[in-house]
Amino acid sequence: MAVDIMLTILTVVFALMVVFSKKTVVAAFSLLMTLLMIAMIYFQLGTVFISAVQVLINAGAIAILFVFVMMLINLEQFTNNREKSKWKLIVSTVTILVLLGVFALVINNNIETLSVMNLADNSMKTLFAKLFDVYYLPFEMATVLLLAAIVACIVITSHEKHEVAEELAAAKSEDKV
Amino acid sequence: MYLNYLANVGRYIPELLLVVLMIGIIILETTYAEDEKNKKYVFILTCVGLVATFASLVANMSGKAEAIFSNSMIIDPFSTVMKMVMVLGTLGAVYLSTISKDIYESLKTEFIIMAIGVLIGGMILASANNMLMLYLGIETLSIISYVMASLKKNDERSSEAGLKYALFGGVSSGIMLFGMSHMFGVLGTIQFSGMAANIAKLDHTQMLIMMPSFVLFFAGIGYKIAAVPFHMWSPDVYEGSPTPVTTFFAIVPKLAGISALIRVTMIFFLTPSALRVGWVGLMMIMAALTMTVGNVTAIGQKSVKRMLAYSSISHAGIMIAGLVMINDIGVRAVVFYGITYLFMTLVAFYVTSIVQDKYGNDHFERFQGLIYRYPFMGIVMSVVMFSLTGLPPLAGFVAKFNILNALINSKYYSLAIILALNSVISAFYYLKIVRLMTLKTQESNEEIEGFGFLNQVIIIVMTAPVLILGIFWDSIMGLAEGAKIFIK
Repeated sequence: MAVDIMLTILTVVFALMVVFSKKTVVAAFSLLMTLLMIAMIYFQLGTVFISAVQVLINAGAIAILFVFVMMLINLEQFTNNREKSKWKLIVSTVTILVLLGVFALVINNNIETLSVMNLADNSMKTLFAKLFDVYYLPFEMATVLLLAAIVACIVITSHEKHEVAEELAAAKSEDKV
Repeated sequence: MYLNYLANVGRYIPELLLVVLMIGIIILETTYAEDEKNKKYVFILTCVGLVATFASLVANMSGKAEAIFSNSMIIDPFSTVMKMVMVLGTLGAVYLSTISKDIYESLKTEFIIMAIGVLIGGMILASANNMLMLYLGIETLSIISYVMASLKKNDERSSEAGLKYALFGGVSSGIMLFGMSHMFGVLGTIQFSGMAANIAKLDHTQMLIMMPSFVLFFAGIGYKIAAVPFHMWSPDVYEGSPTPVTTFFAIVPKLAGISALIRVTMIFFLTPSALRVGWVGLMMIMAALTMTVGNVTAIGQKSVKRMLAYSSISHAGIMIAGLVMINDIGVRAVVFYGITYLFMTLVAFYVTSIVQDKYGNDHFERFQGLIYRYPFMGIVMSVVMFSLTGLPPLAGFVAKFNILNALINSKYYSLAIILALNSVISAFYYLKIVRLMTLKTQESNEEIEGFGFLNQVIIIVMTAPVLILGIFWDSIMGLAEGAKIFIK
């Protein structure tokens, strides 16, 4: 229990640092730490595979990608200059109040939400048995999504033939000038 | 189990056909040279594939409603009708893309591939029976839409539209997932029927805890159908995207979102509960706001495409209004509205797109005196505008009347009054086009190549349902009536 609470507090602290830190690099590393902490929580719950995937993909690939992009571009222009406005304050206060209210209700009523799930059996074997049994259709449909997304990626990144021709023409006219 | 899956495939043929069609076009596109002849083949193949999908959907209509693939999809008349409308919408958008100049010649095949991808997402959404399929459907729909919005790569507004759509869509997916995870945490299942059964067991405090999560969940779907206050992206995206893409966006993702909303509402809130009161209240406010904001903002627009974007927002509001009573009459009215909305939107966008291709922009003035040069097109556009306003004896009137009727039957008088007032407001900007077309003299005598014989015939054929459904609406109404929601 103590470990759970520690992890929760750390996650929240790092998450807040992502939002409130003035330096972009610090924010990115806090994001990395948040994701790692969430992986630890998964580990604590016994879901080893999801924990490993979380580290590999979210922390390992995505957060590192952020840092990498920051290395490549000029950081000066990305200082955190947030505007302060009355609306933001009101909205954030209301949001926090609603969240606290929900939290208080949950604690007051002793609602055991996760008890429904069977967390005891979390081996990869059962996970994939489910994936290829009950959740087979979502699994297959995700491949369709990825296929269409690949086409979309190619469309967005590829250079058009006429584009290249135009560029060449522009270069030629520049030469003449 | 495996045999079970094989048995289920029979009801899943429409989607599978589309997947095969998409892969087929990808192979054609990558292996053959890009010339006029091959483009024609791709187009013919797409038409054949979509018509085959439509035919298999018709075949699906007659079978009994059932839940397939271990209860994750539902094939019932309701989802089948919505899918048919979406397939027709895609077919219309694909043909428009082949004649439009607004979309790059070299990207037309890619447009078709992505449109089919979005269509698959929409079909998943229309028959999703658990949260996972719902989310997968929404993501398939969205991720490809972002790229479709920015198909005009050298155009600043198009790129802006794509980026805006991606940012808004990403945030809305996140919000919706947050709501879903709350719901899963409290209800302990992702299956819609199981969740509905668990909602009935909740006490009042637990209902109170659930309310914010349902609001978050609604926000996610609200973004997809561009309900106010989540509509900010829609006019910019509609205006920035190439016109065929706009036509597509106004029909397929919107109707898919509406059908998901219908299913969720009908399954979760069929029995009276505190949550139902909250959900109905939310939808009433959303419907009233969506209608009013859409219509009032449409008045001041210069560009016809942007005007149509705002008008499609207000139509989404009317469709949400048909859901607040949560009964079969309302669902029937919304399905009928969806069918008429398809034809009206297609014709309006076809004419706008062709006029825009000629002049390079789509301001209202470009429509001046259209009826003198192209009498048929002028009449057709006027008919569609009257129908969008909701004047009898056109289909738009019957559709609006059904929703009003359902509202008044269930004693939602305030919403009914707001809907009627909104029809009056919408008359202002719809009839502005009619006035410009008929009463003003034309700017020039130039021919518009887009209005060739074939295209005029196609546009007139698409307008025919608007006229026919306005008078002989009982047959389609029977189809809509049969579109019952199956809950398992």
